[in-house]
Formats: sequence, C-alpha cells, structure tokens
Amino acid sequence: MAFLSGKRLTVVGAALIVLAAAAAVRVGVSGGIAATATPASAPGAALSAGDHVGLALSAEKRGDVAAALSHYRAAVSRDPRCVDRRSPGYLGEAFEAKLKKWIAGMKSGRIAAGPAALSDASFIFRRMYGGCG
Amino acid sequence: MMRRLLVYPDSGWALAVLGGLFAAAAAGLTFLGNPAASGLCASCFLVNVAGALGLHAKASQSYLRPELLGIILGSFFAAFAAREFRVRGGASPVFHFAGGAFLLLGCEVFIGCPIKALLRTAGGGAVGLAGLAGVAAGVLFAIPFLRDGFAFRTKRALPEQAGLVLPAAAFLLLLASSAGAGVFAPAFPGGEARHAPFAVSAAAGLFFGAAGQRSRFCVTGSIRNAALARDFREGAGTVAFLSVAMLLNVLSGAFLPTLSLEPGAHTDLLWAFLAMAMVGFGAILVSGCPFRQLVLASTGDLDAVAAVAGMLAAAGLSVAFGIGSSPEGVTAAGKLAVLGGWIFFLASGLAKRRVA
Repeated sequence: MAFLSGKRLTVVGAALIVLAAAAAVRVGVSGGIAATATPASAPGAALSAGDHVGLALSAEKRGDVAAALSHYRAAVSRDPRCVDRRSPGYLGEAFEAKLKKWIAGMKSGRIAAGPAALSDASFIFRRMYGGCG
Repeated sequence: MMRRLLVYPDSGWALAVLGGLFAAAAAGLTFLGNPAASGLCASCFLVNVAGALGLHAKASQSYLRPELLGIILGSFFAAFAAREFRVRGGASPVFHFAGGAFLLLGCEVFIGCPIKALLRTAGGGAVGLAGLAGVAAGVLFAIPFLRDGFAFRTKRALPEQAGLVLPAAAFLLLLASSAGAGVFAPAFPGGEARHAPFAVSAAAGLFFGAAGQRSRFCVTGSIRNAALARDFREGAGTVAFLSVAMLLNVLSGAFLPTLSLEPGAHTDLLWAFLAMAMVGFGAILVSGCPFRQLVLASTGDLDAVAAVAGMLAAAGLSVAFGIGSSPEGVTAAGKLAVLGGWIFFLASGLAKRRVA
C-alpha cells in the first residue's frame, strides 16, 4: 500500500466518496427506506401472528411443510416472541425440535419442500437463537 | 510471572493468555444466558443499555448490561491503580461523537462489534467471517492515511472532575441495576434482552474492563500494529481469542460452518463486509474499536467519552429508525448509514492529513 499516498490517496478517497454518494442515492431511490419485512400488499399481510400459526398447523396436518413454514415465518416476522423461550407466546420446545428435523430433512433431501421452504426454516432458526437481545 | 500477566501484560504470550481468558469468559456468559456469540459485544451491550435508558422502545433489546457498566468501572479502577488515569481531551470531540455514532451504526448493520465478529467466526458463521474480513480490510485501508500523517490536535490535560463523570454514572447505574431498576417495562415477564445472571455478568465486565485496560485489547488496533509497525504482540491476543472461542465451540458442539443458520444473523455477505470495513477504517481514525472506546473513556479520555456518547445516541437511533439489521436482512436505512459512514470517514481522513 506504499504507493497509496499523497495525491494518489486524495484521488482514490475522492473517487470512493463519489461512489458511496452515488450508491446512497441509488439505495435511497430504489431501496424503499420505509420498506417493511412484509409489504402491505403481500398475501396475508392483514393476518396476525396467531392467525398464521393457526394456518401453519392446518398446513402441517395436510402434510404441506412448505406452506407450514411460510406461515410460521410470517408469524415470527410479525411477532418474534413466538420463538422466544421466555415469552408466553413461545411456540414450544416441540416446535424447535420439529424445525430442526425439517431443516435436516430438507438438507438431506428426505423432505422435498423446495428452496423457499429451506429459506423460511433457516430464517426462523436464525431468529430463534441470536441477535443483540 | 503473574505481575507480567496481570499488571504489565506487554509480551506476546501474556497478551495471548489474556485473549484466551477473554474468549473463555465470553463463552461462559453465553452459556449462562447471553444471546449466541454475545458474551462480549460492545455494540450489542450499548444497544441494550440505550433501551434500558429509554433511548429506544424495543424491550427485547433493552437491559442495563452489568457487563458494560463493569467494563467502565474495571477500566477505571485498573487505570487508577496503575496511575494511568489522566483526564485529557480537546483533540476533536465533535469528530469523535460523530465517528462513534457511525461505528455503532456499522456494527448494527453487521450485527455485532469487531469482537463479536471474532465470536461469530469462531461459531462457524460465514457472515461473521465476511465481517471479520471487512474489519481487516478497513484497517489496512486506513494505514495510508496514517502514513500520510492523519492526526488531530494534541490532547491537553483537563480538570480531573470531568473524567470521573462516566465512572460515577456507571457506578450509580450498576447500583440501580442490582436493585432491578434498569429494565423499563418489558413487554412480558422476563421480556428484556437475554442475559446471564447479574453478579456473573458484572464480575465478567469488571474483568473485561480491567484486563482490557492493562492489555490494550483492541481487534482493530492489533491489526493496525501488525501492519504498520510489524508488532504482532496484540495480534497474539486477538488470534488467541479467536482460537479459544473456536475450540470451546467445537468442544461444546456449537461450531456449525454455515451461511444460513448463523444465530441472529442475516445472510448478506456483501453488506456485512462493507459495514465492517467501514467500522475497521473508522475505528483506526477514531483510535479504537467500540470496546476500546469504552476503556479509553473510563481512563479519562474525554474524546473517547464523546465517542461513547455518539455510540449510545446511535444505538437508540439504530433501533428507532430500523437501521440495524435482523435475520430478515439488511434494511435500506442500514445501507444508507454504512455509505454515510464511509463518506464521513473518507472526508475526515483526507482532510486531516498533514500530506495533502
């Protein structure tokens, strides 16, 4: 990095400032700063977390893992306390065990639910176990 | 030998031992209740404290972290005992306030400070590794600015009372916290941020603070010293921290190499890298990562106090305006904060060089 000093560093720095400013304009214009996880126009946007849990359980009974995971994800997005062990609204240890089984099954190919279902399951797993709080 | 380890740890092996102890203590706090990879995370702790102080309203990220208050008090006592408590400042408090704010915002976009990037990498997280690579890249990018003479005015001595405000505030808050007054109306019983038992957290915080003050533990500083001065002693501490954390994860079965199943993380490698590169770059200009700012602020550095104030304010803004990321992903506001941080630090870095 010895070559990067004096006027060269000024030029590189100024170019990066312009690039960052352009990227910021692009994000500001196209990124939807107020965008939420689920757009208001998305299907099921008006349903509560509890409604989605109910729909997920129905889908599970039908054996539709993909639909169940989609509804569980929607429930967790609306109310993360669904996957907080300390909350009265916690879905329970049985749900945790089921989630891990689904993830393992989808990864091994035993459960053919599609990539969207694996993405939903992974999201719920990440939400369940970490963060800053 | 103990004196060289605990009082004047300046050799590579002493710093490596302390780095390993840091990792073990952080793993212990996670085992006892802190969120995954959050046994020691300055930015997460600041967000939790900001919530407890009413700067944001998200109960699940609110808790008057005894670890953070312990870090402040531990650093203060260690500096005082070693006669290194000197009140100084005036270099550039406004830059430090804004710089601290951008550091925190970058950490929140990544979800964690540089120390948490080590812990996340040690857990096998690919996004954690991207963030750690970003920190290293950002620090290396800052080196030419240092070589060109980036500097502020020399700090000057200031009245001693001013340096006592932060430790005194931490002491009072720790007292209030021990009485259970720190958590403001959790959404449900126990709805505050997940945490280890109070006494253990406070003791660990005191250790982090005292050992951090004596060892100058700083992830970004260790990379800077290795690259700029070929001084690898602090780097030994950082490498030991990563190694011990990874070993403990492997032994406990918590090591899982993954992109999509990293606890609490998003999966955006690019923005994790860019956010932490901004943090690495900015931390060098501000003279330390968020953890180091806390330690410096507790030893009488009023510019670091300004940086801590900026971080605390940004912690509230981050939650209130949806700047921080979540497992859902990186928000547009978060991306704007990262780009804003880059512009701020680049402009400051170019303007404050002695070589134009």
